Amino acid sequence: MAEHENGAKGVSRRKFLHGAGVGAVAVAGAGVMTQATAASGDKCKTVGCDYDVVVIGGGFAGVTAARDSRKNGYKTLLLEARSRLGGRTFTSEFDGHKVEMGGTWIHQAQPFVWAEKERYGLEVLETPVSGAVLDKEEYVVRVGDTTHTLSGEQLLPLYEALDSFYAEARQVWDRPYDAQYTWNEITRRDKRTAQQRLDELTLNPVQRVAIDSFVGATAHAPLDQASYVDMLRYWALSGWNLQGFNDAVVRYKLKDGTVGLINKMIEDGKPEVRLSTPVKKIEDKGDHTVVTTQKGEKIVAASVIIALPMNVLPNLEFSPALDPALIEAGKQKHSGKGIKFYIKARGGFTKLAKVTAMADSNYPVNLVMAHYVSDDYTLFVAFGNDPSKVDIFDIKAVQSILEPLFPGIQVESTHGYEWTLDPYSLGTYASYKPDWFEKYYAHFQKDRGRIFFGQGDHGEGWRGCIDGAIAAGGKAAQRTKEMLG
Amino acid sequence: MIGRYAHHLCVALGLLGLINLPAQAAEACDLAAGQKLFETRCTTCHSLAEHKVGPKLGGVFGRKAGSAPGFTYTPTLEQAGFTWNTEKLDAFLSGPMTFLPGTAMAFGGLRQAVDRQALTCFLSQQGPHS
Repeated sequence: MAEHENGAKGVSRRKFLHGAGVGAVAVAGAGVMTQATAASGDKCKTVGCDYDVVVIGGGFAGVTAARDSRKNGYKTLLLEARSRLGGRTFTSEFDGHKVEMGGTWIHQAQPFVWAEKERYGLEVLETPVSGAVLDKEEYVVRVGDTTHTLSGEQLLPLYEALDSFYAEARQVWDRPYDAQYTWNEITRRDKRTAQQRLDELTLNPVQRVAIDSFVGATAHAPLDQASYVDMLRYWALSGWNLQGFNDAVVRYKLKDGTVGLINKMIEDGKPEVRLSTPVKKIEDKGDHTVVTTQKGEKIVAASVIIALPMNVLPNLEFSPALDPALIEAGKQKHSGKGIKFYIKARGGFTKLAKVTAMADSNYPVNLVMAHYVSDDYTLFVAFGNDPSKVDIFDIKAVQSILEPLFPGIQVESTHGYEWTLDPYSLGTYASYKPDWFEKYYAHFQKDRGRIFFGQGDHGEGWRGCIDGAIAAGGKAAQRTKEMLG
Repeated sequence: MIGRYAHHLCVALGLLGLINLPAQAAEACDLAAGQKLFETRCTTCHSLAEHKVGPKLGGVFGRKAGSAPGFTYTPTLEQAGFTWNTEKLDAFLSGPMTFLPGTAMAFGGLRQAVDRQALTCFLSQQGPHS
């Protein structure tokens, strides 16, 4: 306790007063907590602390952790560096449509996010969104300088190619939420890149491009930098088949945007939220923690939940020092480092159809999908594995990239966000790099003392997706509860 | 009150020809192109009238960097120590993170000088109450 008091002394008078008050207040029952209309009415259960739980990072992981912690009866503060919540989800507007600059799609095969959608009664839209019935499906595959347009039965060889790429998924991820169950199968292939897997298959050029495009967009990286086994994980999670995979990763999006769900969670849990508050340092003092913001404010808490992207972890100071493996992996960065952007265009493609274009890893965009379709124009969402290959805001440049895929297309405007440049994300959606399972898996998401790790980039299941973030935050809040009592 | 006097002073100096009034700068540039650039490349995060993900941009010209009331800046912007003008905005927009390492503005930059010119010109015309 002596150390605790020393640690708290340098903080502020208000904190001592706050702490002094705690002794006189009985532990608030759950009923009292839920009746509170403002988080400021809460009392910290731990003597001398400002908060029972401080959550760092306001993406889906952090928002879930903060909501759950407050509902668990703890005085909770959520700290977010940016001036908005959502992390690597960001609902924006483009040409009058709500668009997601980051994480977009959810599905009932993603148990954590779908539970939230149901809990709050949120509606979903099917993409491509259209007022018309889109019964035509068309694929454009760019092979070298030739563009192939395929539909109907012509697509079967593409499906077969994908089936063959993922053929080992059952063996490697028989239980997609339990890496240990097939640990030997995973580690045996750990060093393999998705490119090596592609190279060993006997395929025609169109099939090769289809896999390159599809897997590249999943990893958001060129195939030679994507982990083969981690790509198999997605296939396993969606039921080991293409229909399940497509439905799970690009079919439903929240009608009111990801921000709609974020807002519901905050309204529900009512944690105290501070935006524009980057954190500099996190100290575990044994019987309490101290979080220091970049502005120098010190916040004393019984526990801290880290809900930050793995790539930004090396930019914070930890005491005791962070596991060096986390710094090393964070500096190496996960594979998600591409670009995603929207394109408004007319002409050059079949109207009122589900149009998809595919190109190989060398092309500036690898996957282009219709997202909003009207009789007048289509909004496409495009994925590229290297932001340096395309200036997404240069309409002429985007036109020249789309023209070979859709001859005669007229690009009118574009909209996007450069996640790899954002210092608070330093990447897009995470998947692991080759060799990471053996090197880092045991190190990720490991709590230490009063510091809990609820990072959406890690954990079993749909890590790297909205679902995985909600799972990670919720599980971290649960473990924190077990420690705090 | 001080702000109001300062505004009057600026107008007076402008009338005397002692400082460049925005209108003079506008003669040499394409405002429509600047507005289109603003609408397509800035409005994801910025508005002229209010703070969004980034600070409001109405009145950015002549404003000290990192000083718009009510917006929390990164230390980099707060400590930048300059006032936004054509030259500084041009340099910033060509590569925010190159010009001001530590900024949180997730934007790769406007690669075309003509685009930067049109955008800075448009912004120079937007007063604090636009």
